[in-house]
Amino acid sequence: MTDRATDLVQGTLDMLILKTLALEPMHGYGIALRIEQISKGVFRVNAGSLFPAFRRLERAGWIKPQWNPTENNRRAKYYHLTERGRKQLKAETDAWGKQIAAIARIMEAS
Amino acid sequence: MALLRKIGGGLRVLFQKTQVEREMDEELNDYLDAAMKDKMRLGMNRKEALRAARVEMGSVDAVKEGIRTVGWESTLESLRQDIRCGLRQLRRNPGFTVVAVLTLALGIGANTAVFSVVDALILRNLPVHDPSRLVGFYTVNTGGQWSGITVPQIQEINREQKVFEGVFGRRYPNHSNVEEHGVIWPINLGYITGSYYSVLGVKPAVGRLISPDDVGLSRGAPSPVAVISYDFWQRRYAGAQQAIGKTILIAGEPFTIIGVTAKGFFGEQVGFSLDVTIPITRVPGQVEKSGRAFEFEIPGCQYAVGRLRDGVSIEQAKAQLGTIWPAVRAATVPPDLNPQQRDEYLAKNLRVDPYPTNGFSYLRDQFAKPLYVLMGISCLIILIASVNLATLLLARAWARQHEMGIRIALGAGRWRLMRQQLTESLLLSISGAALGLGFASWGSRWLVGFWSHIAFNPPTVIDVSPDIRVLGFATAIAILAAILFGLAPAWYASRGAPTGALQEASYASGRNIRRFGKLLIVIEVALSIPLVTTGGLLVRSLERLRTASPGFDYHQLVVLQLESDTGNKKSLDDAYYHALVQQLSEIPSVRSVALSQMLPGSGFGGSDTVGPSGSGTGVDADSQIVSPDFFQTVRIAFVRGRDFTWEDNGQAPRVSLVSESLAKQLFPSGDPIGQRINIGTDPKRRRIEVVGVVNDARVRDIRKPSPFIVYVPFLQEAEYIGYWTNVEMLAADRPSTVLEAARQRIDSLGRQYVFYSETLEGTINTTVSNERALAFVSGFFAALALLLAGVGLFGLMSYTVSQRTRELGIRIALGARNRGVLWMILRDSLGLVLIGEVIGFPCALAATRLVAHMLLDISPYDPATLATVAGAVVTIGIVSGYFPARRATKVDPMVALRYE
Repeated sequence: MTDRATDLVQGTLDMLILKTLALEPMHGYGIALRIEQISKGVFRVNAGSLFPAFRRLERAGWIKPQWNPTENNRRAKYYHLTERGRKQLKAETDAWGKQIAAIARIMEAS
Repeated sequence: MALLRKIGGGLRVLFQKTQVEREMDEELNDYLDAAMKDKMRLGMNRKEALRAARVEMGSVDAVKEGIRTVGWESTLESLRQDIRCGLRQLRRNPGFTVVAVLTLALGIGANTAVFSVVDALILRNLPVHDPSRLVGFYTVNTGGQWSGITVPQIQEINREQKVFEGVFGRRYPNHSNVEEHGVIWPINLGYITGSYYSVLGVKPAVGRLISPDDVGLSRGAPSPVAVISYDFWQRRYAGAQQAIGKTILIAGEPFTIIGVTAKGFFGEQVGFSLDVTIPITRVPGQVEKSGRAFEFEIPGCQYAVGRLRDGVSIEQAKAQLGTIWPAVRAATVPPDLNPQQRDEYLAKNLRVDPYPTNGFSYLRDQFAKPLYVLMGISCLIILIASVNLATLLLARAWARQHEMGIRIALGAGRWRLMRQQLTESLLLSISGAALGLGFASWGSRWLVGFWSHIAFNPPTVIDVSPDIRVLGFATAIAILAAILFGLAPAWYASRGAPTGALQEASYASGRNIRRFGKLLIVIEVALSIPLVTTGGLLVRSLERLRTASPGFDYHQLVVLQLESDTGNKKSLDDAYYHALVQQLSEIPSVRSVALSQMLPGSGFGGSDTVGPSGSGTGVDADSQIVSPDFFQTVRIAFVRGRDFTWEDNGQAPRVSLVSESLAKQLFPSGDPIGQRINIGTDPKRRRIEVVGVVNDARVRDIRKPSPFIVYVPFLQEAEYIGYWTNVEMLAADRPSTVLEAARQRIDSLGRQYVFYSETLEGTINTTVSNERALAFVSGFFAALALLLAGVGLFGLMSYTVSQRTRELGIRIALGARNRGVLWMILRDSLGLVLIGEVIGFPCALAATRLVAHMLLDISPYDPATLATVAGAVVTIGIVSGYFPARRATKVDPMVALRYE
């Protein structure tokens, strides 16, 4: 039941969720699906990691839940990015870019 | 903001639990639903899709638990669960819980009780304003010895110094009494200079406090005013306002009460609470005067104290006082010194030191050592109690291994399981601490009670009510104990292997636990032995004190201390003393009456060099001033010669009696009777005829052998006898009856009154209160330690037997005899105890060395005591091993083999 193919680098799940939500508000399954699709099936996020991450991000004030009505007259919990979340995403993206570049240089050096 | 949101989110989870949970369910269902639909789009049928989605998600409960553990509230929540679970466990084993809580309560209580006395006597700051700014100073002679400080010196220093806000001096306080309408109250009386209260920063509760004007040094005249302590105000006047303005007689002279000190203030010495303070210029018995010449007549002070000005350091104060000292010294030479004394005076130096923030204390000097011994004893007992609990919990951990294994298999974290076990231990020790605090508040007062009733003195007030430090100490001990006894069992419990446990209790881990349990028992026995040995020695030492004859008999004796009424001080003459003894002898049940300067066994008395006249040599001997019939009354046997008579008075030639050992020492060959001796350097005590020899007796202090004693007659030593008289009465009746009759007769003589009365046995018990307190406490805890060791060993052996049931069954089935099985288990138990002894006795011998100076007539290596302890511990080993061993022999092989 681990995330298939590649385990997510520690801490990157939060960043991926924020990135996904940057486009539009989504519900839980939608987020999982989007991550899987965009990564072309490399990352599959299971519910056991996803939902605790939602609560964590929610507590940090980066995402906000919202109950939206669905087509079959029920409601579903959608998450959307807050202003603080957007700033956090930007900060993490920058840091991530620097780290990747640095790691790449090290890996190419040898 | 962020913090607020975190708190808010957590609170919502805690207080809107059902709604939060419902939303969580709803969201997860949505998720499943969406996943299922997704899979159906890929061509699965509904049933397959649902199954696949569920498999992907895993346990819904695990996901929920994952969500719940985000945020601080989950810790709180799990703590609540742990506590509930712990309480349930404890309720399920009420016997274990009661034993555990009680032993912990005793252990924690003992520690806290001793600590609160240590706190009150040693650690606590004086109840004055900012004691760290106080500086004490006094003079020392050329040899560096303390030499007090005179009032003119204090005055002069105060005039010249620039480092203190104020300076006060205080004379040695003493025991005195207050008389009002013929009612006498014993008090501690302090003599102070005018700045005493302002320098200490003490405020009045009612009225006003003594000021420089009342003391009247250099200007004006001293006024007869008194300030009483809050405690005395409550004790004597029940806190009534009318106490202010009352006139009281202090040691016979009238004083007016002007105020009461603030609650909690007792003076600047711990354990010597000043009930009444008066101006140092108004010492009763001294004529009131004023002016500079008079200041030299005022008794000197023990020390002077100054309060540093803001920003002045102690070094600066030392420097400045050092600079002005030679001038102060030169300006304050007392007028009536001879040249040699003058030189000595001008060689004196000033010692300046920070005043200890916890004050000086005679009581502390006296009792610090026994307190530390008690501290050590109570430390050992809490260690033993903890180790004991650890063995009991360990057996339980084994019993619960199965449960733990299942919980681990279901996904519980090991840390979580450990935490739950530790919570249970903490619950035990916190309950123990709560109960222990109750024990402690009783115990500390009991301890202080033991020590504060020194014969004839007013009660010593030591505040042992628990403060923040004591509460903190108790809590710390409780937590430490919980970790000590809870950690190992918790660790074992959390190590339960899921697979092993789901089968049957794994034999290997059982053996591990057993081995660890054995180690604990060995430690427990090893720890108990120093405690039991020390306790045994102290109890035996007291026992010897009780049973060994001190050479006199203190039973059936009623003793009185008589004080003189005002105006009658000069009228105590031979005729009065004779009449007094006559009157008391006529009380029907009284068989014999005597007077003495000091009470036998009180620990007080004079000491002098005694030698044959003309020889120039001598030995140190106790000197006792006694009346005729003294020896008959306290039953010291005569070896030869005669007793004193009422004719041996100031006009008759001086006579003396000596103890047998002294007689042999001074006159090894000849007959002591008729020989002449010199006592000390007093010219009046030369060439005194020895008229009798009496048996050796520990007349001064029953704890110390005092073979050399010289007795001199009461009527020939008038200058050594104060205005108070000690009376011993040998009576065949109840003390209260005797006392009542005696009081009437003494009153009818009209010169003295009964200031204090007690049986001699009671007085002696007070003298040996240190020994009694130590023997009682250490004896009690020694017994407790033995009991605990027994309980622990019994628990371990029972556990061993139940764990080895199958093995025992096989042995019995193969023909093992009852005796063989019995011996097998018993051997185990005895072996542990013996290893414990091997480790424990060297420790014990080191420990008893520490208490050697408190032992009377008994060696710290007393073989009988050591043998008894060794025997007692072996007996414990046999008894605690026997019952489990008997159960082992009853194992039915058939049942045992089918057991698993």
